[in-house]
Amino acid sequence: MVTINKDFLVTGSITTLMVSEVINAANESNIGAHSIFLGQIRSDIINNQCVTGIEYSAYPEMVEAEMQKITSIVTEKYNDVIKIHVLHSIGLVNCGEISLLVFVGCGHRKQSFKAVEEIVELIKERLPVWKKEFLEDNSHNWPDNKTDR
Amino acid sequence: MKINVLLFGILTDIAGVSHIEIKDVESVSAVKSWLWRNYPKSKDIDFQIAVNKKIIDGKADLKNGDEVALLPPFAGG
Repeated sequence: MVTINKDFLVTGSITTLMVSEVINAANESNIGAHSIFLGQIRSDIINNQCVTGIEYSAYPEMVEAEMQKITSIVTEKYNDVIKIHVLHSIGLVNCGEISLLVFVGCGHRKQSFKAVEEIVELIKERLPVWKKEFLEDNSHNWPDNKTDR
Repeated sequence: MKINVLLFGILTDIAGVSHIEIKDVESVSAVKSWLWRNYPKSKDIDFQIAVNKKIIDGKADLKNGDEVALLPPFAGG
């Protein structure tokens, strides 16, 4: 039985307190490995302007449905996964702050590395989330993951 | 016949709203034509369409009260 959290969307940045709560909650005695991915807002330079922050928006009902599909894909593939916790920001997140947390708790380390990477890639590909990237002159762009590295 | 159209990402910039109720459209392609006619800049935007939260390929007929979401390329993470 895999435990998966229900509320994936968080307003504003993901704080260190939230990260530590996720870790502390994964104290099941059969978990032997935690793998965590944290996505941080990078201050890219675009047309000589620094990115100051990103405002995320989402289609919340579809986010829930897609996250369930993503976690099903991963748990069917990796049978050592015991716990998954995903948090994605909506609203404004400033540069240097965290906007995505993917936690995977497994019995052993190897599948935890693979599962966390696969969840991140599926989130980038399939989650109905958009980002409005603000620059220091208050202009904005709408980058998407087709061009993202 | 009323259709609830939800716009996301760059389409909200183009239309200036995130929700539009339109009448007398009976298919997804009619919603697209309506959007392009009213917001010509949307012709430059690539987007998928979800009807009642399911992404559809190609054509689909609509019924009263359907929710049609216009989804530009995703940018999560």
